Amino acid sequence: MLLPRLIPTLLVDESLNLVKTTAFQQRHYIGDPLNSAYIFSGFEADELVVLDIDASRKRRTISYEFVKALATFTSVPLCVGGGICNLEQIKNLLALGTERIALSASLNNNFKLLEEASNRFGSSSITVIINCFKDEEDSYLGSFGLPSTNSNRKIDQLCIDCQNAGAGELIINNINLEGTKKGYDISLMKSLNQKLSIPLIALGGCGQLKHIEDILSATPISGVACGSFLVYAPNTYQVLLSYPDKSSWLKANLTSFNKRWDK
Amino acid sequence: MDNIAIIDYGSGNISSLFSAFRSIGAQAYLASTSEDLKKANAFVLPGVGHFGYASENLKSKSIREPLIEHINNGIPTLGICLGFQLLTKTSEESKNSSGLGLLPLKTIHLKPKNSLKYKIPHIGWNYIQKTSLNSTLLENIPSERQIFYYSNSYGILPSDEFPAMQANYIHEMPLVAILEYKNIYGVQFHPEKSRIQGLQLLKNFLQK
Repeated sequence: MLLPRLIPTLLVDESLNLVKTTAFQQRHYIGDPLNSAYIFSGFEADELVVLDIDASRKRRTISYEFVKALATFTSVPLCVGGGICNLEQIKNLLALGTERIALSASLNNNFKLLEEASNRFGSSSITVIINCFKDEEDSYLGSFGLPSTNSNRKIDQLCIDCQNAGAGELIINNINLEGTKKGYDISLMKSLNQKLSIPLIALGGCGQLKHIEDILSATPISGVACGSFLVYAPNTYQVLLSYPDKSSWLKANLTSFNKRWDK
Repeated sequence: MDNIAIIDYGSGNISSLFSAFRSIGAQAYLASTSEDLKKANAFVLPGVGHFGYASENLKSKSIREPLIEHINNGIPTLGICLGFQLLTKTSEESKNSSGLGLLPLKTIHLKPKNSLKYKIPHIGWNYIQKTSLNSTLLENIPSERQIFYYSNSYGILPSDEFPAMQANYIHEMPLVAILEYKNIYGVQFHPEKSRIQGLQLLKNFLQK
């Protein structure tokens, strides 16, 4: 049986500080991303997602030196993203020892890159990050990179287009929930998972184990990604990286979650 | 062990494999020519890329035939993910290219019926099914650690007729996770990204 992945998601800023954001706005300094990645690797994290959240805006790519160090200091599967906009960059980043490349903002101007990348490197090497939020009419919109009035689209069609273009996995990041610790968006993930045949990862909102239980009981998505939940001590904004207790709990309880959606 | 030749078919992501070998004290080098193959004590066919591209690349570098000859002469060989699939006869990933054909097996495109539960690509950590046969690659790996990291859209169908040690993983249907046949070893997962059990598996291979 393939286990759902519990994925620490590390965000770095332009100075290569590890930060945590709330609803894409406030930033809280966490510390050194390499040290944190090393610790999560020691915890035997299922996978690590590391994103440079300033890269696209600054029109540059996540630093190769940084990714090289990341791959050197860790032994877990890595997915990296931030400002990646062509095949050459994907090739270089994969060669440094990463498993998957996350694309997002650059797809606004060049959606064809997704298909080209998937054909060249295999769909299992290409992840797409979709930022989603609700509009005034309470329906879900999605965007690559930051939402902007002219590129937002209905989330269902956006996801299906990505799947058809060869995306190997989608990370659905709920902007409204990011950093809130209010729980994942269950109805959205359930609905998307029924429509798509590629792995889906939920990101945004996880604050306690119950949130993971709630979503995995509702729908068999491929993984849950967490920021706050794995970098802060419970009920505080004090930095305390954790993983093993949560991962063991997930393994121990998985069968009972699965039973619920098998019915 | 020294002189592990990692076969170069332009697949790109092999730095993790080099690091894994380094961490268990083994020396590996990239082999791109038939001359490079001669000094090898073991071959590793790495695991990222496209079946057709890799197969054609082996031909255009003129290492396909010498490689088959060396393997037939008994050099221990480990295929990882795509590298494992390249040891089979054919793959649905590329109908116009053939594999090395050293294993009488087929590589198929995974197409689960229940697409709500079973997604493709098959990405993540999956268990090895218990088998009555002993896998020498799994020696010294306790059963709770017999879980490995996969990233594949294609897989190898098990065959009852082929007298090789085969251990499976399940993704709706059983597919070959580990195969051992004479001096030929294949794993569908990535041992180089599979924690201490992955490193132990590589160590076990190097003792062949």
